[in-house]
Amino acid sequence: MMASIRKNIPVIVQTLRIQLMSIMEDRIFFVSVVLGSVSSILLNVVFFQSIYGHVDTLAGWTLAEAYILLGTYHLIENIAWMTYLRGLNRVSVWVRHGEFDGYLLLPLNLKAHLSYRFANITMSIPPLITSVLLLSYGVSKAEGDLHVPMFLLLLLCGLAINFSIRVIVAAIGITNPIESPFFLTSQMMQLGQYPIQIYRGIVRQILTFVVPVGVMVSVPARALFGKATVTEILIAVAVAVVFYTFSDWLFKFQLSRYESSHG
Amino acid sequence: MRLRLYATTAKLAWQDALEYRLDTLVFFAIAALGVLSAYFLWGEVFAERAALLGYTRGEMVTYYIMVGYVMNTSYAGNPISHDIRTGALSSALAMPASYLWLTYVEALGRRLFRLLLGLPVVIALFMLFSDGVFVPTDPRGYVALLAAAFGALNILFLIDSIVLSFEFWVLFAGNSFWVVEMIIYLLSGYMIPLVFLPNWLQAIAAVLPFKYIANFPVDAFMGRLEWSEVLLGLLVQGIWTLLLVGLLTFIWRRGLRRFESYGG
Repeated sequence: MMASIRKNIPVIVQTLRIQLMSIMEDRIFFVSVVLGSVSSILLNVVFFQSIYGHVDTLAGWTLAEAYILLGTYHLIENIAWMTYLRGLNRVSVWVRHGEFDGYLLLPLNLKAHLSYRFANITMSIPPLITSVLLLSYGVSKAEGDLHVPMFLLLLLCGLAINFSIRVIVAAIGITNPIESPFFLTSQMMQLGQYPIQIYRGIVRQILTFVVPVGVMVSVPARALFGKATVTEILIAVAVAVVFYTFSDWLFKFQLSRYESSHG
Repeated sequence: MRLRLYATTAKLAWQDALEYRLDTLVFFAIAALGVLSAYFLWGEVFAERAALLGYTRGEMVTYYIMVGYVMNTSYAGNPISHDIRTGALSSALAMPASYLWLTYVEALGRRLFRLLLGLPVVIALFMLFSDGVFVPTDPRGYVALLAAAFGALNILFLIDSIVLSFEFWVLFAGNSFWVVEMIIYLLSGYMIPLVFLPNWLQAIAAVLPFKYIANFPVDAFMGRLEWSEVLLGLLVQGIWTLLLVGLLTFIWRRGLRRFESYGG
């Protein structure tokens, strides 16, 4: 995938320029979308503050640590929005409308192309900054030493898991078009914005190994303030590798099974 | 004759929604994921207490199931912004009936269908969380829920239409609904019961119509309000509905004056 991206850098740059021009054509649209995405982060802050007004900890997480969790969640989601999210969510729509065939004819790695074709850097910067500010605020209030390198490694794993889940949903949509892939994936991802420790029994196992949104956010956040165990770190890395590999295989497998409905 | 036209429009909207019944059912099932996190999150909050601000753990789970049901039923799409932007409004204005009324009855048909189709998912959730959920036994609560949900549907439709009507002046005005949606999530009680919000936010929510979209219908259902408070709340819903109708009519008439459509 990286070799494909390097080879097609001029295409990528031009695509991003056109995207930027298209987005900035309607400035009010730009402002309203930015305001909406920033306010969704602030809404979550209000939610957590409302709960912590009545409890000191939630499943062992203090408010500062919850801010770190929330900041990590929105950081991952906003990086996804900035890059691959919109492209991958369109696969089901294209298949249903018969437009997918055209994309298959492109002389590019399709999965890589979808990862940047609808990149939205400009509109993602304000919510990205808000996520980082929230993360920084949580860090400033948290006690103990910071473990930034481990956090960055596990953040990368979280991004890999996020990307893999969306690729899996897109892959399924190639042969079984999903009506609202964005709604499905966003509802799944939102389960990860709470500490994984709140989930019990089979649900926690599912959110760790089957739909690993719990591992995606909680482990990097815990790693930042030094509470992630070695087992949790190893699980996060292993899940990221396994899911990325599986999603890559599934996408190619589904492409091989695709049958256009148009003659 | 116009009544028959509106009734037919509602019926057609219902039939249109029926065509996509599986998609609607899947939508509700996916939305139910949110209840899962609420169940576990509030389980942690109530781990060392029986009640908090008048809610028990079971009531909190019921709250999130019902607030999700009411909100997901009340949201069902509004074509105003699209019709203005594409010029489809021109042909709609030529019809022998009010465009806004037609849009309303069409929305009513779709929303009533969603209300019915979401019921199995709600019942399934109550069965799934049967060990930790509160089921109201007073039949007046169910009647209050139906009446208040109808009022909530009207208020949400009107707010939606007011925001989308700004398409007369601003292209893609519908995108600004995202910001309004965040405000509604916060001040309607959809995100968290209003009693948990800071006092200053509760004071703001008290004077705005949003709490009558989610918090009020669900509290009425759960028997958390005296019957006199339920009746007063329904009256306030009615007053807000009339005020929003007035505002929408004013904006709509001003917008129509500057509406221009091009093309065949």
